[in-house]
Amino acid sequence: MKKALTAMMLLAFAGSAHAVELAGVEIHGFASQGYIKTSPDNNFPVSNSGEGSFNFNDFAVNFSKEVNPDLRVGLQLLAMDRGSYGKDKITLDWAFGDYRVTDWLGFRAGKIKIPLGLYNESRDNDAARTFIFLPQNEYYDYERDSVNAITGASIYGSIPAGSTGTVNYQFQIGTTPIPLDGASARNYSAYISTVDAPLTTTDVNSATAFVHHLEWRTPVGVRATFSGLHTSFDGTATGIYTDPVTSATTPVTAKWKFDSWHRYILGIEYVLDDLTLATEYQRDNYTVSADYQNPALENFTSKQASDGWYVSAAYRFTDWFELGGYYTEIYADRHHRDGSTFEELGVGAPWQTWQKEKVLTLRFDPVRNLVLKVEGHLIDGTWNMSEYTEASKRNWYLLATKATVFF
Amino acid sequence: MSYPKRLCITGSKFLLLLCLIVWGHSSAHAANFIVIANKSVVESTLTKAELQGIYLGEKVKWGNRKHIKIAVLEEERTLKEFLQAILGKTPSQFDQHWVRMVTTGKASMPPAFTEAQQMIDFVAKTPNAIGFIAHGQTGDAVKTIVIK
Repeated sequence: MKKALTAMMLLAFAGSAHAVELAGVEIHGFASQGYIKTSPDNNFPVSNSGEGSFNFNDFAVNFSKEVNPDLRVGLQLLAMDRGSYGKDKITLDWAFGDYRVTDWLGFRAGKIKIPLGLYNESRDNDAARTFIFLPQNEYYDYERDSVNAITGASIYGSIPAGSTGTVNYQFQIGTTPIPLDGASARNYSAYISTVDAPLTTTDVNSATAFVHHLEWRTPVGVRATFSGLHTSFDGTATGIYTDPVTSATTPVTAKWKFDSWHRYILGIEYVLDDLTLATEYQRDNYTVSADYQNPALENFTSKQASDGWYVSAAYRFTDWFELGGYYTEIYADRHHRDGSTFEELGVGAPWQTWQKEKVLTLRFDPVRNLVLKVEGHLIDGTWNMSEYTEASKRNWYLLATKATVFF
Repeated sequence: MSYPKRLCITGSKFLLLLCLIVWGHSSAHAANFIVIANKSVVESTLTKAELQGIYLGEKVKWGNRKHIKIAVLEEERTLKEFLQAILGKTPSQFDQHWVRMVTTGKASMPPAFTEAQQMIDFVAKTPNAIGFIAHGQTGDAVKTIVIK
Protein backbone atom coordinates (compact mmCIF):
# COMPACT_ATOMS: atom_id res chain seq x y z
CA MET A 1 0.00 0.00 0.00
CA LYS A 2 2.69 2.48 1.01
CA LYS A 3 4.82 1.67 -2.06
CA ALA A 4 1.82 2.05 -4.38
CA LEU A 5 0.92 5.33 -2.74
CA THR A 6 4.47 6.62 -3.00
CA ALA A 7 4.46 5.80 -6.73
CA MET A 8 1.14 7.63 -7.12
CA MET A 9 2.50 10.67 -5.28
CA LEU A 10 5.60 10.83 -7.47
CA LEU A 11 3.44 10.52 -10.57
CA ALA A 12 1.16 13.26 -9.29
CA PHE A 13 3.99 15.67 -8.52
CA ALA A 14 5.65 14.94 -11.86
CA GLY A 15 2.47 15.90 -13.72
CA SER A 16 -0.52 17.95 -12.72
CA ALA A 17 -0.58 19.30 -9.21
CA HIS A 18 -4.21 18.27 -8.97
CA ALA A 19 -4.69 14.66 -9.98
CA VAL A 20 -3.45 11.64 -11.80
CA GLU A 21 -5.69 10.44 -14.62
CA LEU A 22 -5.28 7.05 -16.21
CA ALA A 23 -7.65 5.84 -18.93
CA GLY A 24 -10.35 8.23 -17.80
CA VAL A 25 -10.01 7.19 -14.16
CA GLU A 26 -9.20 10.11 -11.87
CA ILE A 27 -6.88 9.23 -8.99
CA HIS A 28 -6.36 11.20 -5.79
CA GLY A 29 -4.86 10.35 -2.46
CA PHE A 30 -3.05 11.42 0.66
CA ALA A 31 -0.42 10.10 3.01
CA SER A 32 0.03 11.33 6.57
CA GLN A 33 2.69 10.36 9.08
CA GLY A 34 2.64 11.70 12.58
CA TYR A 35 4.29 11.47 15.96
CA ILE A 36 2.31 11.62 19.17
CA LYS A 37 3.28 11.94 22.83
CA THR A 38 0.94 12.04 25.80
CA SER A 39 1.36 12.01 29.56
CA PRO A 40 2.92 8.62 30.39
CA ASP A 41 -0.15 7.17 32.13
CA ASN A 42 -2.73 8.31 29.60
CA ASN A 43 -2.45 6.62 26.20
CA PHE A 44 -4.84 8.23 23.73
CA PRO A 45 -5.81 7.82 20.96
CA VAL A 46 -2.71 5.81 20.07
CA SER A 47 -2.28 2.88 22.43
CA ASN A 48 1.41 3.56 23.15
CA SER A 49 1.37 7.36 22.99
CA GLY A 50 2.49 7.63 26.61
CA GLU A 51 6.00 6.67 25.63
CA GLY A 52 5.84 8.60 22.34
CA SER A 53 4.77 6.83 19.17
CA PHE A 54 5.05 6.89 15.40
CA ASN A 55 2.10 4.45 15.17
CA PHE A 56 0.10 7.39 13.93
CA ASN A 57 -0.54 7.52 10.19
CA ASP A 58 -3.20 7.54 7.50
CA PHE A 59 -2.88 6.56 3.84
CA ALA A 60 -5.58 6.70 1.19
CA VAL A 61 -5.99 6.51 -2.53
CA ASN A 62 -9.24 6.96 -4.42
CA PHE A 63 -10.34 6.21 -7.96
CA SER A 64 -13.33 7.71 -9.72
CA LYS A 65 -14.73 7.63 -13.21
CA GLU A 66 -17.45 9.57 -14.93
CA VAL A 67 -19.43 6.86 -16.71
CA ASN A 68 -21.60 9.55 -18.30
CA PRO A 69 -22.22 13.19 -17.29
CA ASP A 70 -24.90 12.13 -14.78
CA LEU A 71 -23.34 8.93 -13.43
CA ARG A 72 -20.11 8.60 -11.45
CA VAL A 73 -18.55 5.61 -9.72
CA GLY A 74 -15.63 5.58 -7.32
CA LEU A 75 -13.95 4.01 -4.35
CA GLN A 76 -11.33 4.88 -1.73
CA LEU A 77 -8.90 2.52 -0.04
CA LEU A 78 -7.68 3.61 3.38
CA ALA A 79 -5.08 2.32 5.81
CA MET A 80 -4.37 3.81 9.21
CA ASP A 81 -2.40 3.01 12.32
CA ARG A 82 -3.24 4.00 15.88
CA GLY A 83 -1.19 1.38 17.71
CA SER A 84 -3.67 -1.17 19.01
CA TYR A 85 -6.05 -0.73 16.07
CA GLY A 86 -5.84 0.10 12.40
CA LYS A 87 -2.35 -1.35 12.02
CA ASP A 88 -2.17 -0.14 8.40
CA LYS A 89 -4.66 -2.77 7.29
CA ILE A 90 -6.21 -1.71 3.97
CA THR A 91 -9.95 -1.12 4.21
CA LEU A 92 -12.62 -0.01 1.79
CA ASP A 93 -13.35 3.50 3.06
CA TRP A 94 -16.13 4.30 0.60
CA ALA A 95 -17.34 2.91 -2.72
CA PHE A 96 -20.50 4.03 -4.43
CA GLY A 97 -22.30 4.89 -7.60
CA ASP A 98 -23.75 8.39 -7.86
CA TYR A 99 -26.58 9.31 -10.22
CA ARG A 100 -27.53 12.99 -10.34
CA VAL A 101 -30.96 13.59 -11.86
CA THR A 102 -31.05 17.32 -11.26
CA ASP A 103 -29.61 19.89 -8.84
CA TRP A 104 -32.17 19.04 -6.18
CA LEU A 105 -32.19 15.25 -6.59
CA GLY A 106 -29.46 12.64 -6.75
CA PHE A 107 -29.07 9.03 -5.69
CA ARG A 108 -26.11 7.14 -4.28
CA ALA A 109 -25.80 3.43 -3.56
CA GLY A 110 -22.93 1.48 -2.02
CA LYS A 111 -20.72 2.35 0.95
CA ILE A 112 -21.29 6.07 1.46
CA LYS A 113 -19.66 8.51 3.89
CA ILE A 114 -22.00 9.56 6.70
CA PRO A 115 -22.65 13.33 6.84
CA LEU A 116 -22.63 13.92 10.61
CA GLY A 117 -22.02 17.50 11.67
CA LEU A 118 -19.82 19.93 9.80
CA TYR A 119 -16.83 17.67 9.14
CA ASN A 120 -17.50 13.92 9.54
CA GLU A 121 -17.44 13.17 5.82
CA SER A 122 -14.00 14.73 5.37
CA ARG A 123 -12.44 13.83 8.72
CA ASP A 124 -9.88 11.40 7.26
CA ASN A 125 -7.91 13.89 5.21
CA ASP A 126 -5.61 15.98 7.35
CA ALA A 127 -5.10 18.48 4.52
CA ALA A 128 -8.78 19.45 4.56
CA ARG A 129 -8.73 21.04 8.01
CA THR A 130 -6.70 23.09 10.45
CA PHE A 131 -6.44 20.67 13.34
CA ILE A 132 -4.74 17.28 13.65
CA PHE A 133 -7.51 16.03 15.95
CA LEU A 134 -10.99 17.35 15.35
CA PRO A 135 -12.89 17.90 18.63
CA GLN A 136 -13.29 14.44 20.12
CA ASN A 137 -16.91 14.68 21.11
CA GLU A 138 -18.23 14.98 17.57
CA TYR A 139 -15.27 13.27 15.89
CA TYR A 140 -14.17 10.62 18.40
CA ASP A 141 -11.24 8.66 16.97
CA TYR A 142 -12.32 5.38 18.62
CA GLU A 143 -15.69 5.65 16.94
CA ARG A 144 -14.56 6.48 13.44
CA ASP A 145 -14.94 2.94 12.12
CA SER A 146 -18.60 2.75 13.16
CA VAL A 147 -19.79 6.20 12.01
CA ASN A 148 -17.58 6.63 8.94
CA ALA A 149 -19.83 5.12 6.30
CA ILE A 150 -23.17 3.48 5.77
CA THR A 151 -23.69 0.54 3.42
CA GLY A 152 -26.96 1.23 1.67
CA ALA A 153 -28.52 4.04 -0.31
CA SER A 154 -29.05 7.76 -0.09
CA ILE A 155 -30.93 10.59 -1.75
CA TYR A 156 -29.46 14.06 -1.76
CA GLY A 157 -29.64 17.42 -3.46
CA SER A 158 -29.33 21.20 -3.33
CA ILE A 159 -32.34 23.48 -3.12
CA PRO A 160 -31.95 27.22 -3.76
CA ALA A 161 -33.47 29.28 -0.95
CA GLY A 162 -33.55 32.64 -2.72
CA SER A 163 -31.66 35.43 -1.04
CA THR A 164 -31.05 33.29 2.04
CA GLY A 165 -28.69 30.89 0.25
CA THR A 166 -28.94 27.18 -0.43
CA VAL A 167 -30.20 24.17 1.51
CA ASN A 168 -28.34 20.90 0.92
CA TYR A 169 -29.88 17.69 2.18
CA GLN A 170 -28.94 14.02 2.48
CA PHE A 171 -30.99 11.08 3.72
CA GLN A 172 -29.36 7.67 4.06
CA ILE A 173 -30.56 4.21 4.97
CA GLY A 174 -28.52 1.04 5.42
CA THR A 175 -26.24 -0.58 7.96
CA THR A 176 -23.07 0.74 9.55
CA PRO A 177 -20.48 -2.03 9.31
CA ILE A 178 -18.49 -2.36 12.56
CA PRO A 179 -15.21 -4.29 12.16
CA LEU A 180 -14.36 -6.71 14.98
CA ASP A 181 -10.72 -5.62 15.06
CA GLY A 182 -11.56 -1.92 15.12
CA ALA A 183 -11.63 0.64 17.91
CA SER A 184 -15.43 0.68 18.25
CA ALA A 185 -15.55 -3.05 19.02
CA ARG A 186 -12.82 -2.53 21.62
CA ASN A 187 -14.86 0.26 23.13
CA TYR A 188 -17.95 -1.94 23.40
CA SER A 189 -15.81 -4.63 25.08
CA ALA A 190 -14.54 -2.10 27.58
CA TYR A 191 -18.09 -0.91 28.23
CA ILE A 192 -19.33 -4.29 29.45
CA SER A 193 -16.10 -5.62 30.96
CA THR A 194 -15.67 -5.68 34.72
CA VAL A 195 -12.52 -5.68 36.81
CA ASP A 196 -12.89 -9.44 37.34
CA ALA A 197 -14.06 -10.28 33.82
CA PRO A 198 -12.23 -8.54 30.96
CA LEU A 199 -14.15 -9.38 27.79
CA THR A 200 -13.41 -9.30 24.08
CA THR A 201 -16.12 -8.76 21.49
CA THR A 202 -16.32 -11.70 19.08
CA ASP A 203 -19.41 -10.78 17.08
CA VAL A 204 -21.21 -7.53 16.14
CA ASN A 205 -24.51 -7.09 14.30
CA SER A 206 -25.83 -3.73 13.16
CA ALA A 207 -29.52 -3.05 12.73
CA THR A 208 -30.83 -0.78 9.98
CA ALA A 209 -29.48 2.73 10.41
CA PHE A 210 -31.05 5.98 9.27
CA VAL A 211 -29.14 9.23 8.75
CA HIS A 212 -30.48 12.71 8.02
CA HIS A 213 -28.42 15.78 7.33
CA LEU A 214 -29.47 19.32 6.47
CA GLU A 215 -27.01 22.07 5.60
CA TRP A 216 -28.02 25.67 5.18
CA ARG A 217 -25.34 27.68 3.39
CA THR A 218 -26.03 31.39 3.57
CA PRO A 219 -24.56 34.07 1.27
CA VAL A 220 -22.88 35.80 4.23
CA GLY A 221 -20.38 33.05 5.08
CA VAL A 222 -22.49 31.20 7.65
CA ARG A 223 -23.02 27.45 7.23
CA ALA A 224 -25.39 25.69 9.61
CA THR A 225 -25.94 21.94 9.83
CA PHE A 226 -28.31 19.65 11.66
CA SER A 227 -27.62 15.90 11.52
CA GLY A 228 -28.99 12.74 13.07
CA LEU A 229 -27.99 9.09 13.21
CA HIS A 230 -30.42 6.46 14.45
CA THR A 231 -29.39 2.84 14.88
CA SER A 232 -29.01 -0.17 17.20
CA PHE A 233 -26.36 -2.84 17.36
CA ASP A 234 -25.63 -5.92 19.45
CA GLY A 235 -22.98 -8.53 19.82
CA THR A 236 -21.25 -11.20 21.83
CA ALA A 237 -18.19 -10.87 24.03
CA THR A 238 -16.22 -13.64 25.66
CA GLY A 239 -13.68 -13.84 28.43
CA ILE A 240 -12.84 -15.40 31.78
CA TYR A 241 -14.31 -14.44 35.14
CA THR A 242 -11.88 -14.74 38.04
CA ASP A 243 -13.43 -14.91 41.50
CA PRO A 244 -11.65 -12.24 43.60
CA VAL A 245 -11.82 -14.40 46.75
CA THR A 246 -11.15 -17.95 45.58
CA SER A 247 -9.37 -17.14 42.28
CA ALA A 248 -11.56 -19.78 40.66
CA THR A 249 -12.21 -19.10 36.99
CA THR A 250 -15.29 -19.62 34.83
CA PRO A 251 -15.86 -18.75 31.18
CA VAL A 252 -18.14 -15.85 30.26
CA THR A 253 -20.10 -15.48 27.02
CA ALA A 254 -21.98 -12.20 27.29
CA LYS A 255 -24.70 -10.90 25.01
CA TRP A 256 -24.70 -7.11 24.83
CA LYS A 257 -26.77 -4.50 23.07
CA PHE A 258 -26.67 -0.78 22.36
CA ASP A 259 -30.32 -0.15 21.65
CA SER A 260 -32.15 2.84 20.14
CA TRP A 261 -29.04 4.92 19.62
CA HIS A 262 -30.06 8.45 18.66
CA ARG A 263 -27.37 11.01 17.90
CA TYR A 264 -28.06 14.63 17.01
CA ILE A 265 -25.48 17.24 16.04
CA LEU A 266 -26.08 20.95 15.52
CA GLY A 267 -23.23 22.88 13.91
CA ILE A 268 -22.51 26.45 12.81
CA GLU A 269 -19.48 27.62 10.86
CA TYR A 270 -18.70 31.22 9.94
CA VAL A 271 -16.03 32.19 7.42
CA LEU A 272 -14.91 35.80 7.02
CA ASP A 273 -11.85 36.23 4.82
CA ASP A 274 -9.04 34.34 6.56
CA LEU A 275 -11.00 33.71 9.75
CA THR A 276 -13.02 30.55 10.35
CA LEU A 277 -15.16 30.16 13.46
CA ALA A 278 -17.10 26.99 14.26
CA THR A 279 -19.16 25.48 17.04
CA GLU A 280 -21.06 22.20 17.36
CA TYR A 281 -23.23 20.54 19.98
CA GLN A 282 -23.79 16.79 20.06
CA ARG A 283 -26.28 14.79 22.08
CA ASP A 284 -26.49 10.97 22.35
CA ASN A 285 -29.27 8.85 23.86
CA TYR A 286 -29.11 5.06 23.96
CA THR A 287 -29.71 2.05 26.19
CA VAL A 288 -26.90 -0.38 26.97
CA SER A 289 -27.63 -3.85 28.27
CA ALA A 290 -25.51 -6.88 29.03
CA ASP A 291 -26.56 -10.46 29.78
CA TYR A 292 -23.43 -12.17 31.09
CA GLN A 293 -24.98 -15.64 31.29
CA ASN A 294 -22.86 -16.21 34.38
CA PRO A 295 -24.36 -16.09 37.89
CA ALA A 296 -21.27 -14.40 39.26
CA LEU A 297 -21.86 -11.31 37.17
CA GLU A 298 -24.84 -9.00 37.48
CA ASN A 299 -26.72 -8.30 34.25
CA PHE A 300 -27.59 -4.67 33.64
CA THR A 301 -29.68 -2.34 31.50
CA SER A 302 -28.69 1.30 31.60
CA LYS A 303 -30.05 4.38 29.85
CA GLN A 304 -27.26 6.68 28.69
CA ALA A 305 -27.48 10.41 27.96
CA SER A 306 -24.20 12.01 26.94
CA ASP A 307 -23.37 15.28 25.24
CA GLY A 308 -20.58 17.64 24.32
CA TRP A 309 -19.74 20.84 22.51
CA TYR A 310 -16.84 22.87 21.21
CA VAL A 311 -15.94 26.30 19.89
CA SER A 312 -13.05 26.71 17.46
CA ALA A 313 -11.26 29.49 15.64
CA ALA A 314 -8.64 29.42 12.90
CA TYR A 315 -6.89 32.29 11.18
CA ARG A 316 -4.66 32.08 8.13
CA PHE A 317 -1.97 34.75 8.49
CA THR A 318 -0.15 34.00 5.24
CA ASP A 319 -0.40 31.55 2.35
CA TRP A 320 1.79 29.18 4.34
CA PHE A 321 0.80 29.69 7.98
CA GLU A 322 -2.45 29.16 9.88
CA LEU A 323 -3.10 29.27 13.61
CA GLY A 324 -6.08 27.54 15.19
CA GLY A 325 -7.47 26.58 18.54
CA TYR A 326 -10.53 25.12 20.18
CA TYR A 327 -12.07 24.37 23.53
CA THR A 328 -14.30 21.35 24.01
CA GLU A 329 -16.25 19.69 26.81
CA ILE A 330 -17.60 16.14 26.76
CA TYR A 331 -19.84 14.54 29.38
CA ALA A 332 -20.72 10.86 29.76
CA ASP A 333 -23.88 11.80 31.71
CA ARG A 334 -25.35 15.16 30.82
CA HIS A 335 -27.80 14.92 33.72
CA HIS A 336 -24.92 14.64 36.21
CA ARG A 337 -22.06 16.68 34.77
CA ASP A 338 -20.25 16.55 38.11
CA GLY A 339 -19.65 12.80 37.67
CA SER A 340 -21.60 11.93 40.81
CA THR A 341 -23.29 8.85 39.31
CA PHE A 342 -19.94 7.28 38.49
CA GLU A 343 -18.76 7.93 42.02
CA GLU A 344 -21.97 6.57 43.59
CA LEU A 345 -21.71 3.36 41.57
CA GLY A 346 -18.14 2.99 42.79
CA VAL A 347 -16.78 2.46 39.28
CA GLY A 348 -14.44 5.40 39.13
CA ALA A 349 -13.61 8.99 39.98
CA PRO A 350 -15.96 11.79 38.85
CA TRP A 351 -13.36 13.17 36.43
CA GLN A 352 -13.45 9.91 34.51
CA THR A 353 -16.91 10.92 33.24
CA TRP A 354 -15.83 14.08 31.46
CA GLN A 355 -13.12 15.39 29.17
CA LYS A 356 -12.35 19.10 28.77
CA GLU A 357 -9.66 20.12 26.31
CA LYS A 358 -7.83 23.28 25.33
CA VAL A 359 -6.13 22.87 21.96
CA LEU A 360 -3.71 24.99 19.93
CA THR A 361 -2.57 24.11 16.40
CA LEU A 362 0.02 25.52 14.01
CA ARG A 363 -0.50 24.56 10.36
CA PHE A 364 2.17 25.17 7.72
CA ASP A 365 1.75 24.82 3.95
CA PRO A 366 5.39 25.30 2.84
CA VAL A 367 4.75 24.07 -0.70
CA ARG A 368 1.64 23.05 -2.57
CA ASN A 369 0.35 19.56 -1.67
CA LEU A 370 2.36 19.40 1.57
CA VAL A 371 0.96 20.22 5.02
CA LEU A 372 2.85 20.22 8.32
CA LYS A 373 1.14 20.56 11.69
CA VAL A 374 2.04 20.85 15.35
CA GLU A 375 -0.67 20.57 18.00
CA GLY A 376 -0.89 20.67 21.78
CA HIS A 377 -3.77 19.62 24.07
CA LEU A 378 -4.22 20.33 27.77
CA ILE A 379 -6.85 17.94 29.06
CA ASP A 380 -8.90 17.57 32.21
CA GLY A 381 -10.65 14.19 32.59
CA THR A 382 -10.43 10.85 30.81
CA TRP A 383 -13.91 9.93 29.53
CA ASN A 384 -12.73 9.29 25.98
CA MET A 385 -10.11 6.81 27.16
CA SER A 386 -12.52 4.01 27.98
CA GLU A 387 -10.33 1.38 26.31
CA TYR A 388 -7.64 2.18 28.84
CA THR A 389 -9.49 2.16 32.10
CA GLU A 390 -6.28 2.31 34.12
CA ALA A 391 -5.60 5.89 33.03
CA SER A 392 -4.67 7.53 36.28
CA LYS A 393 -3.98 11.16 35.49
CA ARG A 394 -6.87 13.61 35.66
CA ASN A 395 -4.88 16.44 34.11
CA TRP A 396 -2.73 15.41 31.19
CA TYR A 397 -1.30 16.58 27.89
CA LEU A 398 -1.18 15.44 24.28
CA LEU A 399 1.38 16.69 21.74
CA ALA A 400 1.20 15.69 18.10
CA THR A 401 2.91 16.52 14.83
CA LYS A 402 1.84 15.38 11.40
CA ALA A 403 3.08 15.71 7.84
CA THR A 404 0.64 15.13 4.97
CA VAL A 405 1.14 15.00 1.22
CA PHE A 406 -1.94 14.93 -0.99
CA PHE A 407 -2.85 15.10 -4.63
CA MET B 1 -38.00 45.36 36.22
CA SER B 2 -34.89 45.78 34.12
CA TYR B 3 -35.66 42.91 31.76
CA PRO B 4 -36.97 45.03 28.82
CA LYS B 5 -33.85 47.21 28.99
CA ARG B 6 -31.58 44.16 29.18
CA LEU B 7 -33.42 42.54 26.26
CA CYS B 8 -33.08 45.75 24.30
CA ILE B 9 -29.32 45.87 24.93
CA THR B 10 -28.95 42.18 24.04
CA GLY B 11 -31.04 42.71 20.88
CA SER B 12 -28.92 45.69 19.87
CA LYS B 13 -25.73 43.69 20.31
CA PHE B 14 -27.19 40.87 18.20
CA LEU B 15 -28.21 43.31 15.46
CA LEU B 16 -24.75 44.90 15.54
CA LEU B 17 -23.17 41.45 15.12
CA LEU B 18 -25.49 40.68 12.19
CA CYS B 19 -24.62 44.02 10.58
CA LEU B 20 -20.90 43.26 10.98
CA ILE B 21 -21.35 39.85 9.35
CA VAL B 22 -23.33 41.25 6.41
CA TRP B 23 -20.95 44.22 6.04
CA GLY B 24 -17.96 41.91 6.12
CA HIS B 25 -19.34 39.97 3.19
CA SER B 26 -20.60 42.89 1.16
CA SER B 27 -17.39 44.87 1.26
CA ALA B 28 -15.73 42.88 -1.53
CA HIS B 29 -13.76 44.87 -4.06
CA ALA B 30 -15.34 45.74 -7.41
CA ALA B 31 -15.14 42.73 -9.71
CA ASN B 32 -12.18 42.73 -12.05
CA PHE B 33 -12.95 39.49 -13.84
CA ILE B 34 -15.41 38.17 -16.36
CA VAL B 35 -17.18 34.84 -16.44
CA ILE B 36 -17.02 32.94 -19.72
CA ALA B 37 -18.84 29.88 -20.99
CA ASN B 38 -18.91 27.53 -23.93
CA LYS B 39 -21.23 28.71 -26.68
CA SER B 40 -23.43 25.64 -26.11
CA VAL B 41 -24.51 27.09 -22.74
CA VAL B 42 -28.01 28.52 -23.05
CA GLU B 43 -27.72 30.88 -20.08
CA SER B 44 -26.47 34.40 -20.69
CA THR B 45 -26.91 35.61 -17.13
CA LEU B 46 -26.37 34.04 -13.71
CA THR B 47 -27.06 35.33 -10.24
CA LYS B 48 -24.20 35.47 -7.76
CA ALA B 49 -25.93 32.71 -5.78
CA GLU B 50 -26.07 30.48 -8.86
CA LEU B 51 -22.39 31.06 -9.58
CA GLN B 52 -21.63 30.31 -5.93
CA GLY B 53 -23.52 27.03 -6.22
CA ILE B 54 -21.69 26.13 -9.42
CA TYR B 55 -18.22 26.71 -7.95
CA LEU B 56 -19.08 24.82 -4.76
CA GLY B 57 -20.30 21.80 -6.73
CA GLU B 58 -23.92 22.21 -5.58
CA LYS B 59 -25.45 23.41 -8.84
CA VAL B 60 -24.34 20.89 -11.43
CA LYS B 61 -26.90 21.33 -14.23
CA TRP B 62 -27.60 24.09 -16.72
CA GLY B 63 -31.20 25.02 -17.49
CA ASN B 64 -31.25 22.50 -20.34
CA ARG B 65 -30.17 19.75 -17.85
CA LYS B 66 -26.71 19.47 -19.35
CA HIS B 67 -23.95 18.82 -16.82
CA ILE B 68 -21.87 21.90 -15.95
CA LYS B 69 -18.10 21.61 -16.42
CA ILE B 70 -16.29 24.15 -14.24
CA ALA B 71 -12.71 25.30 -14.69
CA VAL B 72 -10.43 27.35 -12.44
CA LEU B 73 -7.85 29.97 -13.38
CA GLU B 74 -4.89 29.83 -11.02
CA GLU B 75 -3.51 33.26 -11.93
CA GLU B 76 -3.24 34.62 -8.38
CA ARG B 77 -4.84 38.05 -8.63
CA THR B 78 -7.85 36.99 -10.71
CA LEU B 79 -8.39 33.84 -8.64
CA LYS B 80 -8.36 35.79 -5.37
CA GLU B 81 -10.74 38.44 -6.70
CA PHE B 82 -13.15 35.88 -8.15
CA LEU B 83 -13.22 33.71 -5.03
CA GLN B 84 -13.59 36.68 -2.68
CA ALA B 85 -16.31 38.39 -4.72
CA ILE B 86 -18.36 35.31 -5.59
CA LEU B 87 -17.69 32.73 -2.88
CA GLY B 88 -16.33 34.83 -0.01
CA LYS B 89 -13.47 32.35 0.22
CA THR B 90 -9.71 32.53 0.04
CA PRO B 91 -7.79 30.28 -2.39
CA SER B 92 -6.76 27.96 0.47
CA GLN B 93 -10.37 27.67 1.68
CA PHE B 94 -11.47 26.94 -1.90
CA ASP B 95 -8.73 24.29 -2.27
CA GLN B 96 -9.76 22.66 1.01
CA HIS B 97 -13.41 22.61 -0.08
CA TRP B 98 -12.51 20.71 -3.25
CA VAL B 99 -10.11 18.38 -1.42
CA ARG B 100 -13.10 17.48 0.79
CA MET B 101 -15.35 16.98 -2.25
CA VAL B 102 -12.82 14.72 -3.97
CA THR B 103 -11.79 12.62 -0.96
CA THR B 104 -15.43 11.90 -0.14
CA GLY B 105 -16.23 10.85 -3.71
CA LYS B 106 -18.68 13.67 -4.34
CA ALA B 107 -17.01 15.25 -7.36
CA SER B 108 -14.01 15.36 -9.64
CA MET B 109 -11.38 18.04 -9.15
CA PRO B 110 -12.08 20.94 -11.53
CA PRO B 111 -9.36 21.41 -14.15
CA ALA B 112 -7.09 24.36 -13.35
CA PHE B 113 -5.09 26.55 -15.71
CA THR B 114 -2.25 28.95 -15.06
CA GLU B 115 -2.77 31.07 -18.21
CA ALA B 116 -5.95 32.84 -19.30
CA GLN B 117 -5.53 31.63 -22.89
CA GLN B 118 -5.45 28.02 -21.66
CA MET B 119 -8.72 28.67 -19.84
CA ILE B 120 -10.31 30.24 -22.93
CA ASP B 121 -9.18 27.32 -25.09
CA PHE B 122 -10.59 24.78 -22.61
CA VAL B 123 -13.95 26.54 -22.29
CA ALA B 124 -14.18 27.03 -26.05
CA LYS B 125 -13.70 23.36 -26.85
CA THR B 126 -15.61 21.83 -23.90
CA PRO B 127 -19.41 21.75 -24.23
CA ASN B 128 -21.22 23.14 -21.14
CA ALA B 129 -17.97 24.53 -19.65
CA ILE B 130 -17.72 27.66 -17.53
CA GLY B 131 -14.66 29.58 -16.35
CA PHE B 132 -13.41 33.03 -15.43
CA ILE B 133 -10.60 35.29 -16.62
CA ALA B 134 -9.41 38.83 -16.04
CA HIS B 135 -11.19 41.68 -17.84
CA GLY B 136 -10.48 42.29 -21.49
CA GLN B 137 -9.02 38.90 -22.35
CA THR B 138 -11.99 37.19 -23.97
CA GLY B 139 -12.23 36.40 -27.67
CA ASP B 140 -14.95 35.22 -30.02
CA ALA B 141 -14.51 31.55 -29.16
CA VAL B 142 -16.49 31.80 -25.90
CA LYS B 143 -19.53 33.67 -24.63
CA THR B 144 -19.57 36.06 -21.70
CA ILE B 145 -21.93 35.46 -18.80
CA VAL B 146 -23.41 38.50 -17.08
CA ILE B 147 -23.55 38.28 -13.27
CA LYS B 148 -26.75 39.86 -11.97
